Amino acid sequence: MNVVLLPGLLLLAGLAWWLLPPPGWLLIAGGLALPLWPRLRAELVVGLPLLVLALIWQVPDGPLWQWPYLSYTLTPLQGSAVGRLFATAFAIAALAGGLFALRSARTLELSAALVYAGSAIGVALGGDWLSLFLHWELMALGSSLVLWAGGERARAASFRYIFIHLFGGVLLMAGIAGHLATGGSAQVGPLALSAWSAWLILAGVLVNAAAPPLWSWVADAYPEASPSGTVFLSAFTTKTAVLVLWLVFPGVELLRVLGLIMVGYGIVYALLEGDARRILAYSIVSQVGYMVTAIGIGSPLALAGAAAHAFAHIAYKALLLMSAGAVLAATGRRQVSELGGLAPRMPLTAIACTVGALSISALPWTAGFASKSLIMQAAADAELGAVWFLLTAASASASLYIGLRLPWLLFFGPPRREPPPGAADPPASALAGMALLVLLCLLPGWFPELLYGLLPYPVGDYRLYSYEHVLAQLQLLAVSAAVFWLLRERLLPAPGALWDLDWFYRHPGKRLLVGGIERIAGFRVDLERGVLVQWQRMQRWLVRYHGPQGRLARTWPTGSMVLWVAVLLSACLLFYYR
Amino acid sequence: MNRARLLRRLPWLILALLLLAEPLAHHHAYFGLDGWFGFNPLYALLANGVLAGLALLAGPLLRRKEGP
Repeated sequence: MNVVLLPGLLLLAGLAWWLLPPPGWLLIAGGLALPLWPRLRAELVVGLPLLVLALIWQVPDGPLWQWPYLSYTLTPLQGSAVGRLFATAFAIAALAGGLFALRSARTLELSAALVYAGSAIGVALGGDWLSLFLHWELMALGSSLVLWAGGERARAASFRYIFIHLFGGVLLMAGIAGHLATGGSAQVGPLALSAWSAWLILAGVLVNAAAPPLWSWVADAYPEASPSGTVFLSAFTTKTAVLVLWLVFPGVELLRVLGLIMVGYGIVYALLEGDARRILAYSIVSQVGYMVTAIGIGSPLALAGAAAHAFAHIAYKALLLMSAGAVLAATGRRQVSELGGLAPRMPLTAIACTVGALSISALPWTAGFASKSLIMQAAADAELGAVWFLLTAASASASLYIGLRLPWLLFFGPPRREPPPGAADPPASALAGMALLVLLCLLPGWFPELLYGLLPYPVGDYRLYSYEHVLAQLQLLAVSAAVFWLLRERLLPAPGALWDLDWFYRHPGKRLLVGGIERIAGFRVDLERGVLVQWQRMQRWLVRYHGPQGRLARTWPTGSMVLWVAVLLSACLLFYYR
Repeated sequence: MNRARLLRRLPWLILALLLLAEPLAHHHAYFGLDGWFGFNPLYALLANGVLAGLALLAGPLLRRKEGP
């Protein structure tokens, strides 16, 4: 089949190169085609993201595809530096995730992942609100299916996940409708928070960014997906939300506060959590918090930092989740209290995890250092002391909560339970995906100009590798590592779930909803019964008075008729008497 | 000194070296405090101490018995 279809695919690729359609649509089409031609799994899952990556870099700045719709102009393809950066990161994540998932994932998961990635690229390269919203909702659908494909536990989580995202989508849709109805531009651009529609758009986007109070969906849903599904999930949803915040709400001070809360929440919960992938899910919220804070600062350097950090975060978080997923696949265990000592059995995974962990800790010569430093510098330049001190404290504690902790808990610390005999590194294709991300975690650290050259704003004369800056960062991390080493046994997470805001909608909220539905159903039954009883009573009354044997159908006696006529005439006389 | 002992002492050695390198740095203070000698190690100690303390104190309070 491949021999027949492959030339067709190559022809389509050539056609795509010539026509330059919105690149995300190719991934969406590939995702829909995959269940029809499952034998083309490798070609679609690996080849298509590569083609899309190449196409993204063919898109020039400015609108490329436009057509009128009602009184608006739709722009499903528009080139911009920031859109290209995010789209590139998404395409790389799709490629690396596809490689990692190639041998293990179900067709449904891969198909949904391609649709999910394509929609995220659609958001990044779209230019108008309607295109953005359509891709946004398609993303919700694709991500829910990626989650759904993860098994029994994942299905329940995917229901909760889709409800949250549909809620966010409704807020966004209402905001967009309000914005357009009040004469706002159809093109996505900065909005002032003076109209209610802008607040609704902000709220809808913040749901996807995992901002408070709806932040716990990340830790609720992501760890329940399959080992490869979590990798896809970590890359797109929160980062597209960051992109929309970047485009629409730069410099909004509220975002600084929300971002800092997210940073703190993610760190504390990651430190208390015992599920390896849930630790990483909490840390997603924390890292997205950095980006949201940077967008709230709003200066060109801060916005460049937010975009750079999104790029770096996609790489190192996907790498860390691949490592944790590989451990889950090899051992069947997810709690760190049952893991440890896996480095001799999974040496390549251990190396990958360490690189990702060092990058998230912003160790010099890693991508995390290159991106996080821009945000810190922007906070300092803007003289935002509270923001700078809090972010520095968060950076300083990175080793304690994840940077050293995760590799130690999974690979280098003592085994807390004997690993299964067959535990080994994942297959070569999965390792290739990990290797690609290792490269992305290291290259921007060694050659920061590679990343800085892609940013939407130039970083000017900012010097990443000054003696003082590197020393300061190494000092922060070294003290954090020392504290981790001293407390490593005392900070082992205890079993059990953590209280979080999701408890309110998962338990009392659910009871309230179920109780409400039962009451409404009961009321409906009562109403139906009442209406039926009244209808039957009316029928009986009609039959009694107007039926063939009813009173009004009878022939009345003449005396009675005369009496009633006299009564009615008397009544008329009384009414009309003046 | 055996290898394991050296490895155990290595982090402390690195920390000491990083502290010794401090006088050679010319920190540009943005907020006053951050220009103090030894600010970064002390601030990291404070931040990590607060976080560890918070985790040890708040951990039992934030943990619930039922599953996720």
